[in-house]
Amino acid sequence: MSSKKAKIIQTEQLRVVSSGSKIWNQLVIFFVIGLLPLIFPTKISVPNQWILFFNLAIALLSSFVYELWRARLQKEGKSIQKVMTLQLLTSVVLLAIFLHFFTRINGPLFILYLLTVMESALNLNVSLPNIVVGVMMLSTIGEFVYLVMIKEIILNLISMVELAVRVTALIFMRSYGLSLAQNIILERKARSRAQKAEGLVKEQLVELKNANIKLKGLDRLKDEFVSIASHELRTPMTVINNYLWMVLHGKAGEISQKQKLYLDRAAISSQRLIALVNDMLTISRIQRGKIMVKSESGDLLELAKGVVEELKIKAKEKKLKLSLKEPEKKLPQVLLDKERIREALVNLIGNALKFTPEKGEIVVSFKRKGQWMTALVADTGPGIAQEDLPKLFKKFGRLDRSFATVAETRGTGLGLYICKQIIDLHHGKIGVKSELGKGSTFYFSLKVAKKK
Amino acid sequence: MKKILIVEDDQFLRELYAEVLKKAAFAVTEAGDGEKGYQLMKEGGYDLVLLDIILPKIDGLEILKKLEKEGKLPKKKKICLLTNLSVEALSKKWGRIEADEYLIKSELTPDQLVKKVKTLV
Repeated sequence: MSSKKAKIIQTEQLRVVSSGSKIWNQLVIFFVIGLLPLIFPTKISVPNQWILFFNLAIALLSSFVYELWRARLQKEGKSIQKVMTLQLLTSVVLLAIFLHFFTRINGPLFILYLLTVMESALNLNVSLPNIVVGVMMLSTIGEFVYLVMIKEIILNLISMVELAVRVTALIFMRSYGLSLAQNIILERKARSRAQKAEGLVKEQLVELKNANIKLKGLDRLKDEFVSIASHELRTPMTVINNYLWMVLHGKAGEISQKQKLYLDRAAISSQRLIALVNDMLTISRIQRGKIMVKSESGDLLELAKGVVEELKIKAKEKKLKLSLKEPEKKLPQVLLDKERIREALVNLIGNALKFTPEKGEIVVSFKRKGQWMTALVADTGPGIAQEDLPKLFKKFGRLDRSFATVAETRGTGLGLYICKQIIDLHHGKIGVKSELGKGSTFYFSLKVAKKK
Repeated sequence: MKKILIVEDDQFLRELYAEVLKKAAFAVTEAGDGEKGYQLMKEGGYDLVLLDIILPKIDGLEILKKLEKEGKLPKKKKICLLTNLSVEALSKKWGRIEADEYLIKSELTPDQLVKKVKTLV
């Protein structure tokens, strides 16, 4: 574990070294060292000092190229020696040609260099940069000896220093060439790692997409389950309901008051269960996008009148006054899906009937404001506390503190939620205004249809 | 006596419907699955068929499509579909829904059924 960590730290440090500024620093050092010999007084003519400069350049370049090649070959898993031989021979020939043209070294000495190089190359235990540096050294020493012998100049201190500087510079160049190449290799590795990481991210994205598809499938499965379960539930519920009706209506003989009360409660509960299943099915269909709203221009007033007429019987049973306030002006047509808006109206007025105590009053009215037509259902019920208002339009948003108990209201807790879904499908607005003890007003707004 | 065929797979419900209709002085024939229902409808002679949609063996709408192909479909208003599906869902599957009657089973009480049948025959 710790060795792995150490390795990572090492890699990180190397990566820091590989930054661009470091490479520039190294190039500057290269020029400084390359120019050093020029400072020293020398007996060698000026062109020769430029030759030294070229020699250093080649030492750097060859080291650099060698390292890059080595890394590449290792990566490809090829036999290093095989490819290196070719590379080495090419470099050596180029070097020999260079030396031949730009130095005055020739004749037997040049052949000697060449032979040494070839031998080293074939031996293959020596790396190219080492050979190059070796050749450079030999060339420098050889040149020196040549100068001493031919021109009969006596070996002196200055020449010795110059020689030392040249050799040191060459060794420096070799190591700088290597480190430059290594830096580039590290940078490449970092880049490929980044690419790998990018690939990983892409892979994860694909995985996420697949998971999403799976989830959607599961969701569909859930909806299908709700559909099937609802149907399977409704059939026995219908049977229970019908048989209870039969007994309650004396089809199986007379029943006592107490029996009637008990059976009534059973019947009410079974009807509630059916209503719940129906509501859940409706919600499931809305969420699956199976319920489409076809917005046609229609008369909201006429629609509301129909619903009010229908529910008047229920209101009478509970001794409630249900009325529709005729608007003073003629109302414009609005964009609506008749069936759905009818459902919403039945729900809102039905709720008012449920929650308003006996002798109360429910008024349905209309209001137009610009491009919006609003239908309002006001009751004289117990009202709703401010903090409870946001809960109303949520699934099973029935309020614990509400006046009527669950059994009394026979609600499913889904009515207002469905209303909101319906109005949302119409891109309309739905809301409530209420004050405790002063009743509630539920309303929804629909867009006025453009006249043709 | 008017003749009524009930095609409904739920035995309890079918028997209850049959009972209330018999009491209302109708001659009732019962079929518990799609195949039997299809055979009886093909033979014909009923004033009204109460046809469930989801049935074993042959689906209620499948029966109608088969009969339509064979030219043995009862006349308009001589079929009353028994269903729990919404009308929208039904009309997508059966184009003639506007012409035929339908009853939502879960919202139906026995006396409402009798009333409806009386208006149809």
